[in-house]
Amino acid sequence: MTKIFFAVDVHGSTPVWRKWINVVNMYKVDVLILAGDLTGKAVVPIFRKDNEYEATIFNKKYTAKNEDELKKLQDIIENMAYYYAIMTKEEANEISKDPKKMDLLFKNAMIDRLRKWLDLLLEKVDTKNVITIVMPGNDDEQYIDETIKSYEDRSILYPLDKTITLPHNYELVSHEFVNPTPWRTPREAEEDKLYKIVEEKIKRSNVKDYSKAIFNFHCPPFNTNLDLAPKLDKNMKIVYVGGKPSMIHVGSTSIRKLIEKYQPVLGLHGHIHESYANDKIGNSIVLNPGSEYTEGILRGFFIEYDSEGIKNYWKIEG
Amino acid sequence: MSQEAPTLFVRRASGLVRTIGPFTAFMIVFSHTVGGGIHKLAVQAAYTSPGAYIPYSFLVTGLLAGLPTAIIYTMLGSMMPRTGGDYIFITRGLSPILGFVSSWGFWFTEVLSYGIIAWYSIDFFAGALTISGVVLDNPGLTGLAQWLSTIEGHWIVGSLFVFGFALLALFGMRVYSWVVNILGTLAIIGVISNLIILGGFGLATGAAVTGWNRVFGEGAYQKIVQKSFELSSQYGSLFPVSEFSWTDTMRAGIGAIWAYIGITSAVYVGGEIKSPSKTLFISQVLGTIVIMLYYIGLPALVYNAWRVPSTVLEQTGASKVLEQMGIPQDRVYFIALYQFLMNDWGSKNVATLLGVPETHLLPAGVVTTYIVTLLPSELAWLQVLNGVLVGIVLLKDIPAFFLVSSRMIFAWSFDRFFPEIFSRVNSTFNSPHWAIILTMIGGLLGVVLNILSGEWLASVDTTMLYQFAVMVAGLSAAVLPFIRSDIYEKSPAKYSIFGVPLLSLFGIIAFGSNFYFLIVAGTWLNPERDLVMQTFWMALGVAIFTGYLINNVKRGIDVKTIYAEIPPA
Repeated sequence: MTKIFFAVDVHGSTPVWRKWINVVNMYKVDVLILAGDLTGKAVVPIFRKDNEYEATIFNKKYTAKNEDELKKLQDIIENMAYYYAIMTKEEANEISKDPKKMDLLFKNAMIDRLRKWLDLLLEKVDTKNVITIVMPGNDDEQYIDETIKSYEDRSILYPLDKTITLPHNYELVSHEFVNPTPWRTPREAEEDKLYKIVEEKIKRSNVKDYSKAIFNFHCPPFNTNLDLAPKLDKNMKIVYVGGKPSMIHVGSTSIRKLIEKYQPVLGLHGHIHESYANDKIGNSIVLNPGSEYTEGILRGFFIEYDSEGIKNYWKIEG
Repeated sequence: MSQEAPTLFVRRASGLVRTIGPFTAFMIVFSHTVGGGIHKLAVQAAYTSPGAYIPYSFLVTGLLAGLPTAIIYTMLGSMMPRTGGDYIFITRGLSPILGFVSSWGFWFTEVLSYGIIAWYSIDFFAGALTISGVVLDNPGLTGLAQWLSTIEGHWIVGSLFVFGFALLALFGMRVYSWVVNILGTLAIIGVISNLIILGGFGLATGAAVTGWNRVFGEGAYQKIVQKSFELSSQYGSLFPVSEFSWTDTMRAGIGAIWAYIGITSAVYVGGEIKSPSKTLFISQVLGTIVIMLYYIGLPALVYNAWRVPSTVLEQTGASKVLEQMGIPQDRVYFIALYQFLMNDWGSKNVATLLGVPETHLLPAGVVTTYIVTLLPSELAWLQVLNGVLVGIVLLKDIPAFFLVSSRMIFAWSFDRFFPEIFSRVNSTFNSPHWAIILTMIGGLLGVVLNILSGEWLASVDTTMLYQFAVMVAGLSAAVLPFIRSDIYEKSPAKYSIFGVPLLSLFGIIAFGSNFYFLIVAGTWLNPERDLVMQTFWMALGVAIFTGYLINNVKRGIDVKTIYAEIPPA
């Protein structure tokens, strides 16, 4: 029996990343997957003046008078899934005026954090014996791919350019793009294009037996329990009907069609944080662990399978 | 500076950069607003609306419509400091389709207008060259003025203006800010020189009589007055002398409203403005007050300087005619009489009357004519300088119009309701280059419209569609605190009077006053041409919005979320 642990959408949260790693030590896991949306959305500048440091988070001012206090301040920011950068106020003003400097600030922050995470992963997980897979999602800039790939020699696998063979000859095909979002994230494609590029990838993967194929697509299939997002009113407040939130489907029709067509044994998805759910499309089991990274909560799915198929799967959160 | 350092950097999305400070923002507002409107209306209203006293029109429209509109646009811009201006406010605060269509309508007038401005600014330069040629006795300058006045001169130079400003816009706001600031500063010097000349030389009794006679020969002023009154009965209602009327003053207000278009132009570059609340307050609210003072002061000084003295009325026999008509003597303005003769009797006849070549006649409908003639001949250099600076007053409109037009396209496109190529931003110059190119094409069409036919110009009259956009924005401001409390929470000015948010109160005033002037503007339209054209354009806007809505839903884009959220900066 092989056991997979699958999580998504950490969005820069170090507590969630640590929890994901610790799962290996708490449960015996053979395959560890973190499938996309690794990077965060904001950088908090820590202002240096003489020997003191100062930062403002959610309108609350924090000061650090020595290196220990600075480390604590950095941890506070990191635990909120933000990045930090030490600079002067003049430098901050410069960055705010110059998009190239802003891009560089984010690039450095994202790559630094990712390296720190991957080093921690190597430290805590025996990647020689646990198949460890890390990939970007739609919200991640292209430049983080090289950082992940640079750890392949230490057995952290980047799955987007290859089909990964898992125990019992199961084959994992991965793709990170999603259908267009209102937020113009870095990896989006319109439905017809998405269908075309994902199907090409499936064909190129040379999967021999789709009853042993796992589709690791960040985007969830349309009209399932996996792609339900709360309906929002004009005030961005959740619409309640009969005391319950009214939900709408926002997944991809292309991904659904491809799952219907190829009928993989399993679909691993993410992207829609609210849909912590499982469902079935034909014979295919599809899963989305969702995400509560802002609260530092890890959500994931355990999947147990053998040569005959999926035996069991269950959610965990903590 | 260090106190205003950002405390959080969020991943950028639009590619635009916040580089515009209060000075440039004010210059954008000033450049867009103070141009042909005031410098023509200050003298033309005496002829077109003889019953009106145009300084009052500017005062009333400024207080009732201009200032409340500037205040709500500033408050909304502080809550939603994004590129696109009222398109963002209305789509997020009231209704996506209303927001798109009103923005679409305003863009139509805006983009074609700046081509038209490029065309008309040549008239100002031609006027300046004529004045220079006359006062310096330089036939080369008058010859150049004559060439500029031809259709060929207009389309060549007009197109060059459009191309030139488009090219500069491609280099981004860091370069374009210099263009706006330099032209704006020159124009402000022109504006100040207008006030100084009118105040310094125009207040003395008979100064205008002496000045006019100095340029056109002894008795020229009296000849204009006498001939006008001789023709008064023949031309009937065209004779531009009438007693004061509040109704006419309010009707002339639509012209004043037109002159105020632009007081909110800083919000259209909201995503490129530093410290939006402060910058918008300075540029739009304080800017509007400064502009109002100029708009009231300039025509008041012109009217005062060019009121026909009673001695001239007696000399020419005009006082008897006035007595018969029951019109007070202080209601006769030379600016109205000169335009009456030039427009209705004919410039050839005027030239014969004054005994000068027709090419030496000064244009009747621009303020420069009535300013430079006040100056003594030993100040010929100041006459030339003032003529050129006032020429720049119109030219400097173009970069401001360019910014507003290109950023509207950018905003629709960024929301995926226009081809997405137009939201692309050049990473070197941080300028929306495709939106700028489309704006340039629109401006060239404006130039072409002038060549085709003057009649088409009326259908792109800015007032009606502008009124529609600001009226809907007023409504959006009125309801926003109640239907988008999440956005209203971000307002830096959440004041209430008797429990009613200030934003709603100003929104209601702006909605009501702009609605009134929309109706007035409507009565000026030609139903067979203007209304058909504008209706067609707005219907096209509805069709584009509907088409993109259907397409976006088909593509799986959550349109509701697009319009529920303020777009990323």
